[in-house]
Amino acid sequence: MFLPFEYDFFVRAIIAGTLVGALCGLIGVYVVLRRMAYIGHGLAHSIFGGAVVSYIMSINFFIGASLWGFLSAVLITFTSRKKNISTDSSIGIITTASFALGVALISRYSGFTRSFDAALFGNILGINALELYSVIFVVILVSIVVTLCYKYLLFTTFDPENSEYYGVHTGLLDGIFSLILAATVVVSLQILGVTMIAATIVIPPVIARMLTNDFNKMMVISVTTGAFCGLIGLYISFYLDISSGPAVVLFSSFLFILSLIYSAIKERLLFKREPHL
Amino acid sequence: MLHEEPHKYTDNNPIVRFADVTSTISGKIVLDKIDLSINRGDFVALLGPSGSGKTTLLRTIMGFTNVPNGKIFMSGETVDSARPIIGYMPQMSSINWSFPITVEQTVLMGTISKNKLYPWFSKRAKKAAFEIMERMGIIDVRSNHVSELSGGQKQRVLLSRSLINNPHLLLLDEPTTGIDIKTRDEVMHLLHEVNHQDVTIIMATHEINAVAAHLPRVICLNKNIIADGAPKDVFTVDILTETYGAPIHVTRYKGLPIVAESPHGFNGMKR
Repeated sequence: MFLPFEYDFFVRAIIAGTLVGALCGLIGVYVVLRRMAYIGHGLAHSIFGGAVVSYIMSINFFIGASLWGFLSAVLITFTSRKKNISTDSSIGIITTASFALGVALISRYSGFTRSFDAALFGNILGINALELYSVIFVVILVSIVVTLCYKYLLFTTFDPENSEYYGVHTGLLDGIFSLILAATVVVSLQILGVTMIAATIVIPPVIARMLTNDFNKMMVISVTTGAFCGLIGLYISFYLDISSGPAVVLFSSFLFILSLIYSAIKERLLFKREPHL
Repeated sequence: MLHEEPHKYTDNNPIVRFADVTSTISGKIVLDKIDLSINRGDFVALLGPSGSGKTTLLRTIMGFTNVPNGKIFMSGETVDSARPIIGYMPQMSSINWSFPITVEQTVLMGTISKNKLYPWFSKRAKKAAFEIMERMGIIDVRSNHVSELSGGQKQRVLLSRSLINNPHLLLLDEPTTGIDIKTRDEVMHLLHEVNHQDVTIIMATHEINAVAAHLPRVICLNKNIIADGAPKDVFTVDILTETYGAPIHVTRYKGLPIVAESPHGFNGMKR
């Protein structure tokens, strides 16, 4: 069980995987409650385009991709405020266009050293010290932002239509949220891959929502579940020699099914206890 | 009947005064050339069809619409510092009642503009929430999830949220829509009490007979102010027909005006 810890790359990957899982679980609570579950999927695709552009322009990956992701998220927010364009439509347009740009550039320019498979599905071998530090940095950043903006994020998530009337700067908060969401997706890309991020962001909070009606407990359950899925997913990835993204997602889905069964049984038991009227 | 007679107000220092105000949303004129005085202690019903500008008028008072023409005076001044403390209660349908949040947390959100630098809700805010929930009769359900509440309790939660800062002016957007007769009666009596604690109330409503007819002052709105006064003066066939753009019949029962909607034009009914 502890054999893989003899490898430095695995130690780095397991720490990064657990942290990324927790991070996705944390940010996912807001994503799910804001009913924008598709945004993780979209942003990951968008950031892929940004990563390719950064590579071609010799800009640091983290800076270039984060900026690209942030701008995409802001663009999505502004476009979806137009009454006749829904959020899912604007995500579909903006992020797919960005992904298409990335794919087009890859086809046009040769000499990409990064593996296409790793970008799409994640790879634990690719976690170097810099990437681990980036994950730690973003975890600290997101934790600070979520703590300092706790009541404001709660209000804009619960009652976005009216929070402005109570003195909350919704535009500023949407911008801050877009920034931490983009940063989360950027640092999760290497481990989870473009195609797998959405499920990692969505599944832990959905499990948590099935288990509790309390926002704070939902945060704790979602973060814990996300971290646990990251940890076990990476173990599975190592032992079964499969990409890390699918391993994390499959394990999360397994937990989702378990919690679905649990909540169905609980509801049935509660229903049975109801007196017959 | 909540008040026997309209308040004997003076125009010296109204809490809100609109002078020839035009209000726009996304460049479209929603309110046009509005002249209006709301005095301290007023309890006013805003009547009008959907899209007539009732919600916009409330939002204009809060300063959330564009006002290209005219002036708004708050407590006699045009500056923001004169703005009274305003409580706002939105339509119940604008709230996501399945959100994982408790009654207490929802009420606490009303204090969000206070202690802006403090990330969580302060002890003082929690004390204020406790007091207002006690006053509104929802203290026993304070730890409950909001989806577990009845329609009347949900209204009390939103009312508590809008009253937690002890506002001078309370703006209510259709507070009795979608609730049963008994609950509506409870809400109206609650508002009546609040009004008697020196809170000025402006309430948008669609309920002419059950709500507006029992208030001392009614404003009929349809982009402009069609009429402003006591129900007995305002509830006439001509005024209501002009307000709603549909034929409306008015009769009287024990001195109270009863307004009958006229489905499909009420062709045979005499006006």
